[in-house]
Amino acid sequence: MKSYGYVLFYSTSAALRTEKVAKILNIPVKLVSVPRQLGSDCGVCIQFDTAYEEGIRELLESKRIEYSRIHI
Amino acid sequence: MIYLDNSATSFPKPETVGQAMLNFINNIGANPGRSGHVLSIEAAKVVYYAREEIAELFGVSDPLRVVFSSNATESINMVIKGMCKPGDHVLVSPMEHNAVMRCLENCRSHDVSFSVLPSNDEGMVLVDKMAEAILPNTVLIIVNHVSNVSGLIQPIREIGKTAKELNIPFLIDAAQSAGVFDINMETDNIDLVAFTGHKALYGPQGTGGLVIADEFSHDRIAPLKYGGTGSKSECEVQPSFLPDKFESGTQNAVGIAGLLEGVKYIKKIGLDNIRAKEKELAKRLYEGLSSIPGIKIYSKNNENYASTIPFTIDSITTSEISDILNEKYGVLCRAGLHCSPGAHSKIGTYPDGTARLSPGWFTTQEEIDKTIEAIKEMVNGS
Repeated sequence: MKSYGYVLFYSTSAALRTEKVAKILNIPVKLVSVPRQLGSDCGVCIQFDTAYEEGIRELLESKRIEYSRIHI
Repeated sequence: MIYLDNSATSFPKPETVGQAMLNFINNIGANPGRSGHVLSIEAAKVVYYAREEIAELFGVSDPLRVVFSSNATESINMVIKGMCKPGDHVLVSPMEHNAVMRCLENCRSHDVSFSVLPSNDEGMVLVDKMAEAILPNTVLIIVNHVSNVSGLIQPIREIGKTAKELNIPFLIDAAQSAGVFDINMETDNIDLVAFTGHKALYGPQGTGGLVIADEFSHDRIAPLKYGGTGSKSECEVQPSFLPDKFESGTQNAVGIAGLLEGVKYIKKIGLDNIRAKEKELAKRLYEGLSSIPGIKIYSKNNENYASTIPFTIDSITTSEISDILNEKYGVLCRAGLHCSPGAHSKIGTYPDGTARLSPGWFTTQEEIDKTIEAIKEMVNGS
């Protein structure tokens, strides 16, 4: 069974940028509402398969995308 | 009707511009980035896609470095008011619009000074003399890329290279040039670009922005406006990240939806093709008007000038020229000082100003020929 991680952002713009870059890099992600238990900064976050955690972290670092936190 | 006032606002627009705005207002409508529901995300996507298209247009890799504002004027204010502190000095070209000059004049009361870069008789910045104009407290160089008065094109790449060597931030006012001339902030060493959406980007009025180069630290610019951004709502301190830092208040997403289509349109046509067509129209207009006795043209038919044609007629005032062209011939142009008294002084047309004809992508050769004939008739009848 897949397990999901979430990247939480301060702004929707940053979430959209992450979604776009991830698609270019073939990292499967989904833009979803922030799960209630994780709270909310902008309403949406990026859901990813935890198998891609390293790729997601590299993406955020290399593109210098401002994010709030990663929840695994 | 023949519309030759594209330097003021381009008209008509590509059909897709109005269609996208109508679609946004009727089918999307929500506040971008303020909520997590489907329409808010749709709205945010429209705004984000516009950032992507504009970032690419100016050679910037991070779309979040495109900050939306209402026009180039607001963007210029953002930079000047946000960067300059008491005691600072700014260098400008002699061809600046009041968007720059009035802001700088206002900043005098905050002990910000400015002076004009060395230039030739036409107002072109003399790059090899720039260093002489730099003061120890110079914090910013501002250059109007293409003059709204004469169409003069400034050598921004050379100015950018020198500004970089001198380690002084470089802002260009791209109101007239964005969408017609290639601007690559990385290779041209431009730190900041102020653009408007409603001219050669073929978007609606009320759109524009500031593009911040990938390597330029936006910490150097304090926000002009403070307020809600939809981000970090729990915090009463302004966010420090882009673009939210500079985008307080709900964005003009309807306008940006139109601007997105305008930018896509010009990219599809190709800036080279737009430039070539407009230059050809301007050449035809220039040659046609040059043959009319008593007319004086204040641009030149060479590669240093864009397609704007300012002129005067010995026997008719500039306001009469535009009135007669409007009422008798249906030719729409703009007369006067074009919000740029300094630029008019530089080319010798202050305080009377000029009549300005500015073709755009949608102007036809036939319209140019009819305009030439109208002006011939007007001169003969005067």
